[in-house]
Amino acid sequence: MKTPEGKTITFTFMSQPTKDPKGCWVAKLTFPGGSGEDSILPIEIVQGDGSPVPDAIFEFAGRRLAVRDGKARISFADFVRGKHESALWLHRKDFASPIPGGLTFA
Amino acid sequence: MTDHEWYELVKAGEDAGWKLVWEKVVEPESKSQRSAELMKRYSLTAGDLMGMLYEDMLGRRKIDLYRDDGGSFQGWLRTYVRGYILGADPNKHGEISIDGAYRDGEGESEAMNIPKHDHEVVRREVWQMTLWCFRELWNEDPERCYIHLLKTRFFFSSEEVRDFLDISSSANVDQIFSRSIKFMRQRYVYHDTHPKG
Repeated sequence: MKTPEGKTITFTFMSQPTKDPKGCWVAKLTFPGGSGEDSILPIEIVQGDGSPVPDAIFEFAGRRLAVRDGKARISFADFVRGKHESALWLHRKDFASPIPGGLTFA
Repeated sequence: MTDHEWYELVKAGEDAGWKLVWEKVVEPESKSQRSAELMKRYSLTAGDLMGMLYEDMLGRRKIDLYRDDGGSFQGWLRTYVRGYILGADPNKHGEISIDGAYRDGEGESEAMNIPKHDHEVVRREVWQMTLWCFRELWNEDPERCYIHLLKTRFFFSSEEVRDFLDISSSANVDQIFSRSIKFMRQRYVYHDTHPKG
């Protein structure tokens, strides 16, 4: 598993619409050029108003990733291991239920 | 004031724009001989027409159907106003149906041209349907979505996708990609022929 040199890839995930606009979220997972199996990939998550999501759990690729001030991390190896996992949720402490999402073309 | 500026004012509900609608569209149309006769027969006033136009444009967002590509905004609005007059059916106790305007038989050809579809609206619907199918593809297997994006958005070769996602061979990548396209097409056709609601 590796990213071609000089090609930075960003996958954008977006929540389904919510009644409370603040509940919406957008997560960007970035693979810097030249990343390999041991690389730690950054994930940035913002909420509806564009501000970073406060403490939360990002359920992605079969893992539950801690989110602190809009930032989470996952290793390239874990991403590839969980590439068939469709469950994608943001569990926020200030929302009663988790908010689902999916990959977008953005 | 250009048509574009006028359109923007009307769209924003600004008084200056709607004042021009009254002066250039509603009042002249209501005073034309043929419309005046029909309005009298159907007990319609120019104020009624203004109200219907306002409700349609801003309340029902028909204003979004105007392409704003250089066509006459005045002529476009006037088509609606004529439609209200021609579609007024006294047997419906004052209800107005714009859809019936061109079935009335009394109208002129312009009443036939009430815009019901807009390329931009159609394009948006196609895009939303594509996103919907992509979401279904995700639920089938996210790996297919990753391959789809890597090939179509990031222009990865099959070998690069193979290395990126740790897939056994580039032939396998091609096969998964081909099945993804087929799946998207099938879902698109399904949703197109089984619309919700």
